[in-house]
Amino acid sequence: MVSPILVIALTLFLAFSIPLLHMLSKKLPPFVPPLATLINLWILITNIKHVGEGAMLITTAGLKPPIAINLAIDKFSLLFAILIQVIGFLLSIYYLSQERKDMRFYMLFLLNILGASGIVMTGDLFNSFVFLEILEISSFGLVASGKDKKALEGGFKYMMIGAIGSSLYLLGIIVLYLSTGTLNMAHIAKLMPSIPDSVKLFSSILFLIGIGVEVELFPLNAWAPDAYQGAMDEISTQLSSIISKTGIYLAARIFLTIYGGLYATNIIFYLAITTFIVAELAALMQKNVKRMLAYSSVGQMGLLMLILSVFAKRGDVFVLTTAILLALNHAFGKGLLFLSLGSLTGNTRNYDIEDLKGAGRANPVLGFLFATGVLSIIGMPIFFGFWSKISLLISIMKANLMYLLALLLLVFLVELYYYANVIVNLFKGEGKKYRIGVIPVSVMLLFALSLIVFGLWPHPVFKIAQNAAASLMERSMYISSILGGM
Amino acid sequence: MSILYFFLYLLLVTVIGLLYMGVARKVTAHIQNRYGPPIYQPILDVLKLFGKRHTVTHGVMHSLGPVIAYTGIASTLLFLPLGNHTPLLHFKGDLFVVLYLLVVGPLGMALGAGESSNPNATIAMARALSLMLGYEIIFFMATLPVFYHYHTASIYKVIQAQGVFPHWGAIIFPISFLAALFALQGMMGEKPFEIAIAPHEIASGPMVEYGGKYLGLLQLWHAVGIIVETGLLVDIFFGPQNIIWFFIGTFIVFYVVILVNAVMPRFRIEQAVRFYWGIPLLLAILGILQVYIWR
Amino acid sequence: MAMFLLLLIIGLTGLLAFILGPIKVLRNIISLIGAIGGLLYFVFKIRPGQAYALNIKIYNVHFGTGMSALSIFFGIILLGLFLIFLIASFHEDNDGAYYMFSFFSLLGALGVLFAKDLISFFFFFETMSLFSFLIVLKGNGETSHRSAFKYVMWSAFGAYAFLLGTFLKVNYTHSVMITDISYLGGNIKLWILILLLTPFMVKTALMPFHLWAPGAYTDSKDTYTVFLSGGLSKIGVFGYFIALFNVFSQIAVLYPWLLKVFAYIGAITASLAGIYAFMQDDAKKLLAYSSISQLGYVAVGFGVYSHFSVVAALFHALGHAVFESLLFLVVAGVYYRTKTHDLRKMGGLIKKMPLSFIGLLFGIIATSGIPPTIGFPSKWLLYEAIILKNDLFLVSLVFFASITAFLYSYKLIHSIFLGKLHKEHEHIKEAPFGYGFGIVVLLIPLFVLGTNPGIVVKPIDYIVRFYLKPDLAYNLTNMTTPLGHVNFPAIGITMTLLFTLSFIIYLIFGKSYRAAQEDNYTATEWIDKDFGLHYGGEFYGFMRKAFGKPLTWSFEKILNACLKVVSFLGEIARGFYMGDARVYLFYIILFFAIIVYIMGGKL
Repeated sequence: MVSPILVIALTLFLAFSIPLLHMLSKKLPPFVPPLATLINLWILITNIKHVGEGAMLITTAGLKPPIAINLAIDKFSLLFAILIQVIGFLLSIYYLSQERKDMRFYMLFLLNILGASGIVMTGDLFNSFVFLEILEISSFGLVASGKDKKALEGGFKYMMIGAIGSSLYLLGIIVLYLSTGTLNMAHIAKLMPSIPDSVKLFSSILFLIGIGVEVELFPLNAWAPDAYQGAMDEISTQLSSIISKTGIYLAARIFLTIYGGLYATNIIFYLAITTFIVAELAALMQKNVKRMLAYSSVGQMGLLMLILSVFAKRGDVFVLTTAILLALNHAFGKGLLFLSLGSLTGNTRNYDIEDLKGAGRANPVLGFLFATGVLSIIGMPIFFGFWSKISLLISIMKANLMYLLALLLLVFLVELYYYANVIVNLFKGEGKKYRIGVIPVSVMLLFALSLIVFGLWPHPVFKIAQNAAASLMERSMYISSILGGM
Repeated sequence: MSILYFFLYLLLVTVIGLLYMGVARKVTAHIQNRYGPPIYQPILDVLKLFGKRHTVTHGVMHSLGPVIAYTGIASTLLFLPLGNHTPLLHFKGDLFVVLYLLVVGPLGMALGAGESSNPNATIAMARALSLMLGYEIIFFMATLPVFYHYHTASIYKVIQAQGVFPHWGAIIFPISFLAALFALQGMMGEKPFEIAIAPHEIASGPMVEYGGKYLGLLQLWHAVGIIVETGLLVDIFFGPQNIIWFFIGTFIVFYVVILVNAVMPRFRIEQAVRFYWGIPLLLAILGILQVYIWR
Repeated sequence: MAMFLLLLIIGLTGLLAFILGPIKVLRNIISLIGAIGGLLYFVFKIRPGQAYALNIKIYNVHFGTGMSALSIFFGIILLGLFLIFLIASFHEDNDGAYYMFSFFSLLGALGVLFAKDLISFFFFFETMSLFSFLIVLKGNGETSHRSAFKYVMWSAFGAYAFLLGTFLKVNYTHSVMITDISYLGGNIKLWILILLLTPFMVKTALMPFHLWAPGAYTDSKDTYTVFLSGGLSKIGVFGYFIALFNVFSQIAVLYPWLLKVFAYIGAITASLAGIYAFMQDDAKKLLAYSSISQLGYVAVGFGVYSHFSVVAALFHALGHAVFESLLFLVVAGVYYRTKTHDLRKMGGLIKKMPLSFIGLLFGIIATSGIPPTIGFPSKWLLYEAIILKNDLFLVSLVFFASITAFLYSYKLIHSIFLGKLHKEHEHIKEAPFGYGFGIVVLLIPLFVLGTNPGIVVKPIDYIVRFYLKPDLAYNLTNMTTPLGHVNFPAIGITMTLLFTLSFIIYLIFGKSYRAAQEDNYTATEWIDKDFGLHYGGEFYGFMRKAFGKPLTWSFEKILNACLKVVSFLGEIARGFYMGDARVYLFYIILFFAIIVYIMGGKL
C-alpha cells in the first residue's frame, strides 16, 4: 500500500519541478502531467482494496483527528479521485499531440489536478477550501490561457464569480467553526445535532452559493457559458469532466455527509429544475455549437443537483447511484464532445453550426466520435448514457415525482432537438477534411469505447457506483471510522 | 356442360347489352329529332370491328388493355345474380367481390389507354379515375343501408330478403335509391358525367388510339358493363324478379339514364366530383341515418 | 437463450460487415450468411413460449416469445424482408457502416418482438429508431438530413411518451413487465394506454404523427425503404397488439369510445394519405403516402376490435409488407437504372424493364385490393367486420380510402412504365438480379396468399382467438363471416378462364401491327418525333380545384406554431446569459438577498 497522501505531495512536487525541468530541456514539461497522473492513478488503484466500509484515514503530523489535517477517503472519494486521474491522464496525453505550450500551462494543469484530487480526498473543511482555491485559481488561468480575447473574457468572468463563491464558502466554514470549534468534517458532522438551526441554515445558504457557483446552479452559472466557450477545447473538457464534477463531490460531501441531508432541499430542488430547463432552452437557440455544449453541460449539472436533492427527499441508495452514473456519463460524454468538436472544426475555433456542415461526413472517424458523445449524452441505447438516463427516471419515479418525470422527458425532447440538429448538420453535404494525429484520435477513441463498452455491459460500473453511493450514504460509518468511537 | 352454359350466358348478356346501346342511340336520336340507326346497329358495328384485318397497336399493354377490361367485367357478371336467376358463382362471393371486380375493367382500360401515350387518353383516364372518387363512394353508401337492413353482404340474399312489390329496397329506402341513381349516372359515364369520353373535347378519350378488334372488345366491355351496372341497382333495390322482369327493370333504369344523358350538358371534372360531394352525398348520409333510426 | 443468440448473430454480423467494409465481396457474403442464418435460426429454433432473463443489475432484461405467438409471425416478416433488402442493396454503393446500421436496426426490431418487460421494449425500440435514423441520414437525397431530423424527433417523441407511460404503469402496478392494467382505478389507466400507444402510432404514421414518414421514406436509400416501410412499420402494428390486448385487455368494456376514435383516426389517415398520395409527383413520396394510407387500415382493424377485424388488420399488415415492399423494390430498381424518382421524367419503361413492370402491375393490383391478390382478403374482412359493428360511416370512409388507392396506383404505373419512352432511357436494361430476385420472391406470397388466405389466417386466428370471441369460419380457400362468404380461388380461376377466353377472342380476330409511339391521333396537329406526349406530373392536377382550400391545410402548421412558442421560451432563457460580468454579479447578490429573504423567517 502506498499512502494516498503521496498523490498530493507528488503532484505538488512535480508541478513545481516543471520550471526546473524546463531549464534542463524545453521538451520535458509536457511529459510531466501524464507521468504525474499515471503515478497518482497507480497509487489510488493500490488503495482500492484497503478502503472498506467507511473512510480510510490518513493522518499527517502524527496527530489524530479532529486536531490535525487529515485525508479521509471512502469509496465515494476514491471513485472521484480515480475519475479525476483518468480524465487528467487522457487529457495530458492529448496535450502531447498539441503544439507545445508555455511551461506554465502544464504547471497550471497539474495544480488543477492537484486541487481537484485534494478536494475529493481531504477530510478537513478548511483544507477543502484551500484546495478549492487552488482548483479555481488554476482554472481561471487555464480558461484564460486560450489565444483569443474570448478566452480572457471567459476567464475573467469565471474569476470574478468564482472568487465571490469561494469567499462565501469560506464564510460558511467560519460560521461552522465558530459554533463547533472544529474543522474536521466528521467531527462537525457528529456535532451537527447540537448546532442551532439558524446557524445551520445560514451556513448552508453560504455553502449553497459557494458550491452553487462550482456546480453551475441557475442564477450563479452565468459565467459558465462564457468560460466554456472561451476556453480551449481541452480546457472545456477539463471544466466539464473534472472541475464541475469536483463541485458535485463537494456538494454531496458537505450537504449529505456534514449536514446529513440537504438543508433547504426544496430550494435546491427547484433551482436545479430551473437550471436544467433554462440551460436546455438556452442551448436550443444557440448557433454556436460550443456554447450549445456549454449550456448542455450546465443543464446536465442541474440534473445532477436535481438528483441529489431527490436523494435528500428520499434517501435511497439507488438515487445516489444514479447521480454517480450521471456524473460518469457526463464526464466521459461531454469530455469527448468538447475534444472531438475541436478536431471537427480543425482547431479553427469557428464553432458556427453552419460552418460545421459536412465535417462529420468528410472526417468519418471524428464524426463517429462526436456522434458517440451526443448519443450517450442524450441517452440513446447501447451507449452508457442510456443506463444513466433510465436509472435517473427510475429514481424519480421511485420518489413519486411523476409530474417532474413528464417535465424532464419534455425537456429531453428539447435536448434531443438541438443535438440532433448538430448531428444532422455534421453529416450533410460535403465538408472539409482535416488531418488528425494518432494520439488525439486514440484518446478520443478511449472515451468513446468506454461509453460503448459500458453501455453494452453496464454491470461493473453500476456495481462500483453502487458501492460508492453506499459509502456516501453511511454517514455514521464515515464519522465513526474517522473519529474512532469518539 | 356448365362451361358451355357459361359461354351462352355471356353471349346472351353481351348481345342484350349491345341492343341496349342501340336503343340508347335511337332514343337520343329521337329526342334530337333525328331517325337514328337501327337498334341492332351496335351488333353490326362490333362484327365489323372484329372483321378488320389490320389493327394498330402501340405495345403489349395497349393490346392487353381491352382484354383485361373484358375479363374484369365478364368476371363480375358471373358473380352477379340476375334477379332470381343465379349464375354458377353467385354464392362464391358477395357485394365486395363484385365491387372490386368492377374496378378491373376500368383498370385494364386505363393500362391500355396509358400505353398509347396519347395525351387525350391519359387525360381521360385521369378523369375517369377521379370521377370514381365521386360516384363510387356514393353508390357504396347508397347500397349500404339495404345490406345492413337485411344483415348480409351477399347480393343473392339481399334479393331474396326483399320480397315482392311493396317490400322493395327502393320503396323502403327511397333516399338511398335516389342517391344510387345519381351514382349510376356517373358510373355509366353518361352526361353530365361523360367527362372521360368527351368526344368533342378529347376525342373519345381512352378509345382514341383503339380500332379494329380492340375497339370491338371495348364495345363488348361497355355492353356487359351496362347490364352489370344497371343490374346491380335492380338487384339491390327491386327485389326478386324473374329474368324477364329483371331485364325490363334494367331497361327502365337504363332508359332513365339515357334520358338524362340526352338533355344534359357536361360537367367539368372538378365540378362533377364536387357535385357528388354535395347533394348525392347528403342523400346517401340521410339514407344511412334512416336505417340507423329504423333499427 | 435462443433469442439472445439470434440477436447476437445479427449484431455480430453487423459488426463484421462494418469491419470488412472495404472488402466488398467478403462483406456481402458475410452479411448474406448472417441474414440467411438468422432467418433459418429463427424459423427452426424460436418457438412460442420460450423465455429468458438476463440480469444486468440495474434491472432484469426479460426476453421471451411467450408474450404472444405474434412475435414469430412478425419476426419472419422482418427477417424475410431484410433478406430481400440485403440482396438488392448489394447493387447500391454502400459502405460497411450502412450494413452495420441496418443489421442493428433489425436487431432492435427483433428485440422489440422478444421483449417481455417495458424497459427492454423501450431499449430495443430506441435501438431500432436510432439506427434507422442513422441510415436515413446516410441517404443521398438532398433533403435527407432534414428528413432524418424529423424522423428522429418524431421517434423520440413517441419513445418518450412510451417511457412516461411505462413509468406511470410501474408506479401504479409495481411491475415493469407487460401486464394488464385495466384493473387500475381512475382514469390513469387511460393515460397510460394512450402514452403507450403513441410510439406505435408514430411508427405506423397514423395521421397527426405521420409528418416524418414521407420524408424518411423518400430520402432513405431506395432498398432500405423496402425494409423501413415494409418491415419496421410492422413493429408499430405489433405494438398496437401488445397495447390493446396485453396491456389493456378490457378496453372494449371500459373505453369503447377510444377504440372508435382510434378506428376513425385510422380511416381518416387512410383517406387523407391516399389523397396526398395521388397528388405527389415523386414516386417514392407517392409510395410513402400510400404506405401511410395502407397502415391506416390496420389501425381501423384494431379499432373495430372484433375477432376478424383484428385478423384482417394482421393479415393486412402482412399484405402491406408484401405489396408495399414490392412497389418500393420496383421503384428502387427503376432508380438504379434511370437515376430518378421524378414521375415527370419517366415513361414507357415497360419496353425496357418488363419484369419490373409485372412486379409493379401486380403490386398495384394488390394495393388496390383487387382479387385474387393478397390485398383483397384483408379488405373484404375489414368491410364486413365494420358493418357488423354497425358503423356504416366508418366503412364508407374506408371505402373512400380504397378508391384513392386506384388513383395513385394508376398514376404510378402510368408515369413510370406506360406511354412514350424518354430519349435518355433508350439504352437502359432490366433492373439487375438483386431487384428481380426480390420481385419474383414477393410475387409468390402475393398470389398464393391471395388465393389461399387460410395459410396465414390460421395462425393469426389462433393468436386472436385467445383474446376475442371467434366468429369467422374459414378453411384454406374459403372464409365465411356472419355477413357473407368468399371462395378466393374461385375468383382467381374465373378471372384466369375469362382472361383466356378474351385472349382467344383477341388472337383469332385480325392481325395487329405495331405502330410507332408517336404515330398518334393528334387532331391533325403535326408533332415532332421527340415531342413529349407522355405526361406524368400534375396527373390529377384538376383535383386541386375539386378539393379546394382544405388540401392546403396541414398538421405541420400547428407543429410550427408549437415550435415558435418553444423558441420564444428559448430566447428568454438565452437573454438571461447576456454576457455582461456586472450583471452576473448582480444575479449573485440578488440571489443571495432572495434566499435570505425567503429563509429569513427561520434565521
